[in-house]
Amino acid sequence: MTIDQQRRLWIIIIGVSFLSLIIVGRLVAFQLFLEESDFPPGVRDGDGVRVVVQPERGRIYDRNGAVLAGNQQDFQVGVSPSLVTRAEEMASALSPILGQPRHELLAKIRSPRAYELLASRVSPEAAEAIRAFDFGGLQLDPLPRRIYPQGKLMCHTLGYVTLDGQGLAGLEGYYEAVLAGQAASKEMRYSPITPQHEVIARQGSDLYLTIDRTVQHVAEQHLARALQEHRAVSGSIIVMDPQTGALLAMASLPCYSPAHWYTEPERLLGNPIISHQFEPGSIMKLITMAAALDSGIVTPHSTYYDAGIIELGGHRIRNWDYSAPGATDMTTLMARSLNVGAATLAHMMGNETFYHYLDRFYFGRRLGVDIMAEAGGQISWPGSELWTEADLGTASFGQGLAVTPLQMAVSAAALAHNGDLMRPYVVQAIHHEDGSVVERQPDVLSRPITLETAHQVSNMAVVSVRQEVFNAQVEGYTIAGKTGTAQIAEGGYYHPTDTIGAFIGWLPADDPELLIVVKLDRPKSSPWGSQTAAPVFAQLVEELVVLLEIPPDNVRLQADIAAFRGQ
Amino acid sequence: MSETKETTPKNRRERSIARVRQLIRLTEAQAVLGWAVLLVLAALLGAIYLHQTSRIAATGRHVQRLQAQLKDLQRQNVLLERDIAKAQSLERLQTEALRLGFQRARPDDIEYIIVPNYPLPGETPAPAAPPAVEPIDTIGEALWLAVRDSVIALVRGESS
Repeated sequence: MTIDQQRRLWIIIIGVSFLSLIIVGRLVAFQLFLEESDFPPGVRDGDGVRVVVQPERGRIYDRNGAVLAGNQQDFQVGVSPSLVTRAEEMASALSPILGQPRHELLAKIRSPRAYELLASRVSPEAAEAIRAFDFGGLQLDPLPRRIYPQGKLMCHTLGYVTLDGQGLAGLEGYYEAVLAGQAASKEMRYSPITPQHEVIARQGSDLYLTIDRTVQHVAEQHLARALQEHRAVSGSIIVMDPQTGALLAMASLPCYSPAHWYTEPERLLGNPIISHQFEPGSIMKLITMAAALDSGIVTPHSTYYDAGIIELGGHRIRNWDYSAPGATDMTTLMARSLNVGAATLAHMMGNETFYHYLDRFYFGRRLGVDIMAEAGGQISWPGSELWTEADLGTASFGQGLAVTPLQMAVSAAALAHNGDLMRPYVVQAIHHEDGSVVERQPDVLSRPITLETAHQVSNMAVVSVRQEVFNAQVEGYTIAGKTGTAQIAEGGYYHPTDTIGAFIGWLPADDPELLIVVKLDRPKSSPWGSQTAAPVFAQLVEELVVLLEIPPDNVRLQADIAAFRGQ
Repeated sequence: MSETKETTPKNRRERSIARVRQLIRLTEAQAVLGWAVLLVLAALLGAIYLHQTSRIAATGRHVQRLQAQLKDLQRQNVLLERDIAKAQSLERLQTEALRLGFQRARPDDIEYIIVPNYPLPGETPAPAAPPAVEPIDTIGEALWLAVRDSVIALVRGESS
């Protein structure tokens, strides 16, 4: 090799080496040192994919841990036609599962597009069947679905969620922020050598309720039977612990399926117990009597003269049976549910005192129950445009004002339990993803009456049941309660025949563990609450004392004596 | 003789050329060696890199498979939870209970038994009274009891 040849060879070697170094350097830079921002927009599209991880919605359990609302995964079925190798076979297999004609499916599978949607939502069972075929090119994307394993049980309380998982009513709506959790998203690469950081969403928290599903079930069964027996249009039952305000059952019929709420008539979707307002009728006399006793206007032994009629603000008020019993004591007023007596008490108290007590009992205000869409009731307050002098008299026996069934339950619970007005609640505890638990404590809203007044009214309510409401009595248990028969205001007038029959009762009267409200709308068998709602109360109590292990009075007495002797 | 020893300019140039040629030959050998070392190093680095990359790729695929398996198990878990909840629904339990011959209990069916001093929920049971101790009458008894207690404590490993 000549020197000239050697020189040329060296030039080639150096040139090739230089070019190689440039290429290797660029490769190393691409592989190791380039950041996302170094690429112009759009250059790396399709290189990765934005993965959005949806959190699992929190479950809802009853007080004993039974699932009331849970989750399942439906699936969206799609196909990437370019990846399909057995189009004919796939169409034949999917047709019966998806319920679509074979030729339509085949057309989609052979589409020139990159992706074709075959079914927007199929059940997990259908998805499993499709998965078993192991067809290439098929894509099954999970879609969360809320399920309610107990069916229609406590539908109004649970509420419902949209198909995209947003709570719209009931507990689902009120606790949306807690139940929903928080989605997480991240750009992920399909390359196996790129580190894959897992995308973790904040899961929804679980709710543990004060509701006992068995109590709820029994209440709904009795309510359904009552609607049928008395041919009532609708009805509600509330079961609560008067000492804490915890709600054990909230039954309203007719109900709807929370899983298929979108197919139900809109009128069924509201919660009658917290959203629907009604004129309470004679059960309001409990409050009037409590106000009169607490304000010191009367004592349990006071009497008044009942002439069978009283005129207030130009409005004549008569007793429901048009009777004129003459000299009457307070207990008899309650037992016989005398309108004239209630109006007399309201008149004696005067506007300021009477309405002051209504306010202390939270009438006309929301109680703050933890369920969506609570109504506050309607009261014409003195001085307002709509108020007349006659309202004082009619409000005393539950006409001319509107309350929710829950408001009546809570105010009666104050009479049953020491005069404390407890805030009603449904969620006992929230269990977060990190294991922490937030427990709910009973909350006293106000103390509208004294302990002594509460005991006095409770004793009157016991006598009232014992003397007049035989249908509400349960052998072995002392029950306090009050019936109510309310007229229904429609278009500015009262309906000539239709009524609302109601009964509020609590037991054991001396140390109440249960307070129950039964309300039947427009019963046809009888207009009176004592004939329709009171028997439902008694039948329900007979089952609940067994379920909740509430012993009869004599057993409690013997236990107290044994405990006393043991001290 | 003098010719061989004389260093004529011609001879000096030839000797220089010969030395340069020798040097070039040495440099070529060294260059070959250098390039060979470089190539080996590059090949080694490439092999290590490829080995690592393939290991990462294999591990990545393994992780992806495990993630897919996890998702599958989670899906099955959701289905099982749903089935359990449905199996425990009250409607079904009631139907089953009635089919098995159970009946609804009524208040009359319940017999209550009063247990004296039975602690109510939330109450802690009263601590049991300590066993009655007989009075010690003599020094001998006291010494005997002290020795006995010490032995018992020693046997139980409670001795201090």
